[in-house]
Amino acid sequence: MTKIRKYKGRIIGRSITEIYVRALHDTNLVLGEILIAGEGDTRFFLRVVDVSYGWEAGNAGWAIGVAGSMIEMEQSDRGFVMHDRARRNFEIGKCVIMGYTKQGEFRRAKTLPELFSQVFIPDADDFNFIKDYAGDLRVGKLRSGEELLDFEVGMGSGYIQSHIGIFATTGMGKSNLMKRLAASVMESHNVGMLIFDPHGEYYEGGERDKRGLKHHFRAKDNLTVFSYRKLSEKSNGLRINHREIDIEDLLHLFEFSQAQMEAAYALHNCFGNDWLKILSESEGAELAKEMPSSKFHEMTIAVLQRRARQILKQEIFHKDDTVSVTDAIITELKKAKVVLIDLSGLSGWRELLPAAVIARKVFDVYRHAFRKPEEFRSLPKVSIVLEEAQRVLGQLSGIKENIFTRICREGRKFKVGLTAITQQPKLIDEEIISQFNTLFVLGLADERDRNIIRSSARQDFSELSREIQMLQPGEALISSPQAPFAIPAKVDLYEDHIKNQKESVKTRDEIPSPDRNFFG
Amino acid sequence: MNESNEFKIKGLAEAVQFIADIFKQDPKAGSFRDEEKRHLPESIKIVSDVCPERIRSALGGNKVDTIVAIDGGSSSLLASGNFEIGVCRASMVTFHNERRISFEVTPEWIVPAGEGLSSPIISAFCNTNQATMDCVSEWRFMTNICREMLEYSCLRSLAGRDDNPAMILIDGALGCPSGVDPADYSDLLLQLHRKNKVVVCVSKSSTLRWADNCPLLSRMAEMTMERPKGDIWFLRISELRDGYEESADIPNLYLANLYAGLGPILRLDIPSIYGRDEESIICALAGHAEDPEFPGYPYPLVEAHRLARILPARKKELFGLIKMLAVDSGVGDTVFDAAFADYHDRLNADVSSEILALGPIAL
Repeated sequence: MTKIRKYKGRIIGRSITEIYVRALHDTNLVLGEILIAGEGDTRFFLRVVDVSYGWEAGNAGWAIGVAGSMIEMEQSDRGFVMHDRARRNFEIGKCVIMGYTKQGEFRRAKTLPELFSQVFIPDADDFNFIKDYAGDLRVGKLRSGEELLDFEVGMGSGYIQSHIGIFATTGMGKSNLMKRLAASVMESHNVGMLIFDPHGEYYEGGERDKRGLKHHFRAKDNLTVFSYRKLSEKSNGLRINHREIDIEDLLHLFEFSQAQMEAAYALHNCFGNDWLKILSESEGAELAKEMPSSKFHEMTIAVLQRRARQILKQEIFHKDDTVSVTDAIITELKKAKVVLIDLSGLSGWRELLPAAVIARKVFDVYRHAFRKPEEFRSLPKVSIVLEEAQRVLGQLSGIKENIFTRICREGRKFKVGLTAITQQPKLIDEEIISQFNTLFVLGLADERDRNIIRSSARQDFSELSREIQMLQPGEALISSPQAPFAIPAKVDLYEDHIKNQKESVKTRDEIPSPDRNFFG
Repeated sequence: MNESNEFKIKGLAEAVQFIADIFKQDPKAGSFRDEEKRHLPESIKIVSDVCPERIRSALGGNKVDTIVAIDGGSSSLLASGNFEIGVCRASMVTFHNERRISFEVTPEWIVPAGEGLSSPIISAFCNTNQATMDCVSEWRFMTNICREMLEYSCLRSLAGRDDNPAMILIDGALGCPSGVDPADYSDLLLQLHRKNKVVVCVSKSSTLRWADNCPLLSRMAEMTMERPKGDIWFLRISELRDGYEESADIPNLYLANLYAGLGPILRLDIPSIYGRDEESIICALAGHAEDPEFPGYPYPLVEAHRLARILPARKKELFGLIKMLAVDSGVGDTVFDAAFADYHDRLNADVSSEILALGPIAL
């Protein structure tokens, strides 16, 4: 049966890099809207990247003159009547060719659709070709402008170790997207996800009427929570012992002078992993005796001591060597679970230090496992989720190399990826941002933020800047290595998702998923 | 342009003085020039007293939902001495409740005209359009005559329709085209009248002169300057001579402004068969002249004009087509170019700013 399509306009020009469409009378074009053109088995996909006014009268100053007349005519009792306004004034959409399908196969466009071709609104069937690219970690529905198509989209769990960037201005839906992504991880149960939650919003939902991960129907099996505080539901205590804190974990969190840094390394050389505890408990003179070959100024040691005491005074950090949950966290990740580290109420280094210690431990375990192929193959891929990631991935020279930048550069090889959430991607080092293979871009008001994405993204965002600026809360563009173009999506509202989700999701008991092809 | 340059242009000062002299006359006095009266049909008598007191506002009238506009477009494609080939076409646009519901454009008509060539063309047209041809004007006007006949064919097609009452607007003055029998033309207007179709001819310009060569329309503009914005005013400037009252094709002439303060002063030719109901007709017409694209001008005529107009690009295409066919039929390419090639494209190329900066070159 011939499909009846909704007619939207005709192509009126102009080149392979920019196609112009005159919209049908009384029809609006929407930024980001996807249109299709072409007949037979060849179908061009066009994305509206700009919308402008058009009119039938030829001269450029027509609208100015008409508006002037309207103003004049309004001043009389008669006013004005514009004949056939919808036909005479119309919209012109500037589009880019996303590509075309021929016999169901998607290709980059090296040719043009015919001039004056009719353009139509696509339906879900037209996107069958991206089924393979939509990924198994679904986050929402395919979107064309403001219309939703009955087609689920997301990212492939196979790319989770290639790093994910979630970029959005406040209020655009970062947290909802993250919860929705974590929900998919719980449902698919084939990758691990370690989430550091500084606001408690992922666990309980934060605001009233919001839902957290604990409300997900798979939470009982696939969510493990660690918290330093008492939570309403059963959770594990979050404890890290002093031996687990490495100098590397501290370097990007505190300002160290050269002398202080050298003293810290000297202490570590002298006392091994107990350096922090000994530093916090000893007197300066005693330490000097213990390190006769090193001559550090009394003040240098005093500064380090003060910091060591501050750190070990925190409830999370313990002086008892036997107290630690990092192994338990790693064990849960190996079971392809979502592990939520509740750090709510903490900020600054108090929040970042536990995150750095745990992330480094995960990275080290996976890195060491890499040397044992059998063991490594059985490990599920893991993503470490960090809020306000610009704090540790910043391009400012003051930000030192740390475990998170190291994961960005080396983690993919060891199946450990980073999910960086930020509202200021411009503050992230450009080289680091280029490591993110999957981007979820929500509304970004700042042009500099959009520019950094444009210059770093794997896909062409050059014409999408205006669309990104205009995205409504929950609307996103998903750029991933497997997709042929940045996929426009509307992220499911997490609360709606868990309400609607039935227990029909395939249960997977065999965990974790063997990743036999990882070594290629 | 600086002051010294202004006076270097030959004739400029005289031209300005000429215009000033024309408009110096008292707007409240004067009458039509005798020679203007001679240019009008015998049936029409121009009123002599054009004064502000006779100008009336149109205050009431029924709205006309359906309005049809007819216009023609013509242009010369190539010319060489006593020979010219022109092109013309006509368009007809129908609006209903301010929305265009249909439009038609006649096929283009290529008109070869020259001494001894016009008659066969007109005869052929008359044969196919049941029109008679009893006079052929100067051959240089042949393209315009053909355009008028195409407009006439549009008008005639309306007589066969039994649809809603409508107002029919024709761009230009009311008059029987040269190739049409006046009796047929009169009969057509009567048929339309019987079908509740009112014909109004609308001219944006008029050659009528007043007093000592002063354009009447500009004089009227001065006389009506104080009228309120949006006012619909009209002035009847003709009477029918005795014995001509029964002729359908004889118009009453009006000057009117359908949107005072913004719109142009128009000459309206309204067939006398509609009697003296001019106020309601003008009012109904003004109801279609409220479009901000051209305030005071019936908008359907704007669209009819656009559709009929022969655009320069089309002229080029047609020129090329004629040349191709002529060469195919044995006319030498060089011979054709020698006679008809238009080199203005080359001559009109923009002069560089460096040359302009040199200023006028004294000869």
